[in-house]
Amino acid sequence: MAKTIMIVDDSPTMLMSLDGMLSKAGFAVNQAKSGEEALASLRGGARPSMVITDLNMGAMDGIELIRSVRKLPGYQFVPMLMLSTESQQAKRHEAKAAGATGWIVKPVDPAALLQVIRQLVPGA
Amino acid sequence: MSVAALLIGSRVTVPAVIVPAMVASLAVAAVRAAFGDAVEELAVSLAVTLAVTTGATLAAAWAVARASDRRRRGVPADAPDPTDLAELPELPDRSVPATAAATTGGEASADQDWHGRLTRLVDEIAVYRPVLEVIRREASEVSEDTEQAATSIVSGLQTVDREIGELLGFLDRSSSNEKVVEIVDRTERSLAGSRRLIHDFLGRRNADIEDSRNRLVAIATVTDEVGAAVQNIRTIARQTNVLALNATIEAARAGEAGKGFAVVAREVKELSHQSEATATEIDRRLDDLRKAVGASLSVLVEDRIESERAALGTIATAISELTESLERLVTHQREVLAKVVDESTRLAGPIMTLIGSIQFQDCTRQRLQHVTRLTEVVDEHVSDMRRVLDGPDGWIDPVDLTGRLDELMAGYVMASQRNTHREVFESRSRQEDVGARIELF
Repeated sequence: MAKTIMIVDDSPTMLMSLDGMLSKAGFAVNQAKSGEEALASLRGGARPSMVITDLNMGAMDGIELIRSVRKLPGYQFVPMLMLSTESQQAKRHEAKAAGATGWIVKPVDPAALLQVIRQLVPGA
Repeated sequence: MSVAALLIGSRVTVPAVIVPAMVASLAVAAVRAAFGDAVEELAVSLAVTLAVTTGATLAAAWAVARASDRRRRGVPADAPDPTDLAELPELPDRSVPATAAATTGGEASADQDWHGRLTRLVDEIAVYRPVLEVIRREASEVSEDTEQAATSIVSGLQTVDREIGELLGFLDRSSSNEKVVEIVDRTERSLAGSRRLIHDFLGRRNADIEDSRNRLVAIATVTDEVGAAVQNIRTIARQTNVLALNATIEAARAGEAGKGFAVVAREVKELSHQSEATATEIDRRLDDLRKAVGASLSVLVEDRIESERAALGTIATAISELTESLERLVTHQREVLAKVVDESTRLAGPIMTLIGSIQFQDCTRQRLQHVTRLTEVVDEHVSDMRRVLDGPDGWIDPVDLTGRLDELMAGYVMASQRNTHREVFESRSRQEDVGARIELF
């Protein structure tokens, strides 16, 4: 059965691009256009094997989303990647402290992204 | 006193002088990058007026502003201009507190003149606000257009990818090993059945021909036996004729008494002649029959069997060729499928890369958002200048652009943006260390 990856981004283009890459690689994709939508989906029973989130989004940014997801039961060890144009070390440290598994700078090479996902998601 | 000295003497700090010039330069660079030379002239004018009002690169900017103002008002370059700011009287030294300074009637008049002209200048700057609005709208439309284009491209790529997948699926289903084996087996069974039918037919046909030949041989044997019997009859007839001849001689020798016997002997002789003739006729007919049987046997065995064997051989050859053709077809089909699978696998990489490359639009969108923010900073700065001129604390207060620039810097989301900012505003080209593009904690 295909592993599900949740992607969170306020950019429709990024959602399409990520969805296209992941679907082509055989993953099921769960899209969310904001941190709030992602959180609601997870609270509603979505069980992704990994969450990939943008950093800069509307009210709830990626770091806050990761912090909130880590507090949900069963999501302490689910891999969560930050995908952002931002490359500042300070932001990386902040994301790491919030519980992020890794940091990827946009634009990301599809092959590199898939390699990271397969490394972090068992059986992917 | 020069205008620069005037501004410096009026509590405009050095950073507050340099930073606005940097903002202006960045605005020009951003506008040039986003919209090209058409808007660049306006951007340059805006930048120059910004620099003038805050004291940086004063002389050159002032000259440009004057030239621009003269052109706009239709005043020839070499004609005297009563409103020329350079012809204003010098202002009093602002470094001395106003309450302590002795204000003369002439200085108050100079203050009013300067205030009026600078107010007019700031009003002129406000003319560029619609330009800034156009820039913002253009940036927004470029962002929307590229987003639509990117969406369309990804959608098209996904359609192509899906169609290729369906084609491969169809080819795989129609050319799978099980399917091919099933077709080959069915054809092989059909061909084997045809070969068996031909073999059985040949066997039955050979048996029929052998039976017919045996019957013809039997007929020939019987005919030969009848011929032998006819020969016996002819022999008996010849012997009977001899006996009749002897009887006639003996009857003649007996004289009158043998006359009756001579008649019998003559009749016997006649009968023997008729028997001979009949036997000869039978023998001739038997010979005809023997020839007819021989001819039938020849036609049956030599001609018909050979022709049928040739025809059946042609059929068998055709069946073998059909089998070979089928095997070649299956092999070719498998090669085509392998080729299609190989090509589609090679195509998958570029499609994936293209889908991934659409991320550029998100980066472009964020850059355009900051161009928009830059125009807003300039816009807000114009408002501040107007506020300063009309403020109760005097008309030459330093305008706090540093805070806005710090805010702008903090809002950047890319190292390249910060690097450009530093290059323009801090005159240094230190490149920020972007770190690893992928980092697992």
